[in-house]
Amino acid sequence: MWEEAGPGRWRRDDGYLLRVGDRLIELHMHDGPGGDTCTVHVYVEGVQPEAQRLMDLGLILPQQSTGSPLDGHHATATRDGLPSPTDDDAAWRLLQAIALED
Amino acid sequence: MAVPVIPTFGTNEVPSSSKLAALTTALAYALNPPRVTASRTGAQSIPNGAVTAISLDSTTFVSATGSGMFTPTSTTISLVDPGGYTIAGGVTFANNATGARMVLLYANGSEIPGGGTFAAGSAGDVQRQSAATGVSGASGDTFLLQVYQTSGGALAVTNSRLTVSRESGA
Repeated sequence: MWEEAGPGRWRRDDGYLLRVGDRLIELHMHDGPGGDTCTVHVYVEGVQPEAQRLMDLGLILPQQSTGSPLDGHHATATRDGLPSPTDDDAAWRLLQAIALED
Repeated sequence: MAVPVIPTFGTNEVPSSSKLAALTTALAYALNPPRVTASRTGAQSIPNGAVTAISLDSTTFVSATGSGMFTPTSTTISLVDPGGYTIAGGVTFANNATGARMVLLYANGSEIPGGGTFAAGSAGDVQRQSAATGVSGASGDTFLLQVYQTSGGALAVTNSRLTVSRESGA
C-alpha cells in the first residue's frame, strides 16, 4: 500500500511514486539478477487501448479501485535495468530526472 | 526448415536413394518436430493496469527443426513451418493480494480465444499462472506471452516461459 511521502509523492516497501503534471512516475525495485536494478514506469490517466479492447471483449474486468494513486492510469513507457537508488533522496532525484527526460 | 515431403512408392518400385533419403528426412522431422521453449532468467517489472509482453531473454530448448523460430532477446516466437501448434506459457507473480492477474497468449497481435487465465491476487505466497491453447499457424505467425495485473502498483513476475510446439500438419 502506498503511503504519502510529501506533496505528489508516495512510498511503499518496493517503490516510489512521483506526480509530475499529469503523469505519475513509478520506481519499482524488484529482485532481478544481482538484485541491484530497478524499473521506472511512466503512467498517464485513462485505460490502455489494449486493455480496453480486452475489456470490450469481456476478457478482463474494468480496473477496480485499489486505493492506489495509480487507479485509472496505465503505463505508457518503461525503462528497465536502471541502478537501484541507494537511499530515498537518490530515488526522488532519479524520478525527477526521468520526468525531465521523458 | 521446410516441412519435408514424404515420397510415394509405386507397386514393385525399387526405391531410389533419393527417395530413401527423402523418407529418412521426413521421419527425422516427424520424430523431432519444431519446438521452442523461450524463457526469462530474471524478474520483469509489470506496470499496473497495462497489458505487457514478457521479454524473453534465453532459449531453454530448441529442437533441431525449430531453429529460426526465436532469437533472444525478444517478446515473440515465430513460425517457420505451417502446421498445428500448441502454445503454452506461464509466469509467477510476486506475492500480492490486491486486484486481478491475467496471463494471455497472443497470435499475430491479438489474444487467442481461450488462450488466457484470470485470477484474483492471492495473499501469503507467490502466484503461479499459466495458459495453453492450440492454433493452426502459417509461416511467419508470431506468438506472445502477455500479462496484466491491477495490484495498484508495479509487480514483479519471474519464471516466465513460453513454448511453441508443432503437433501436426497444417
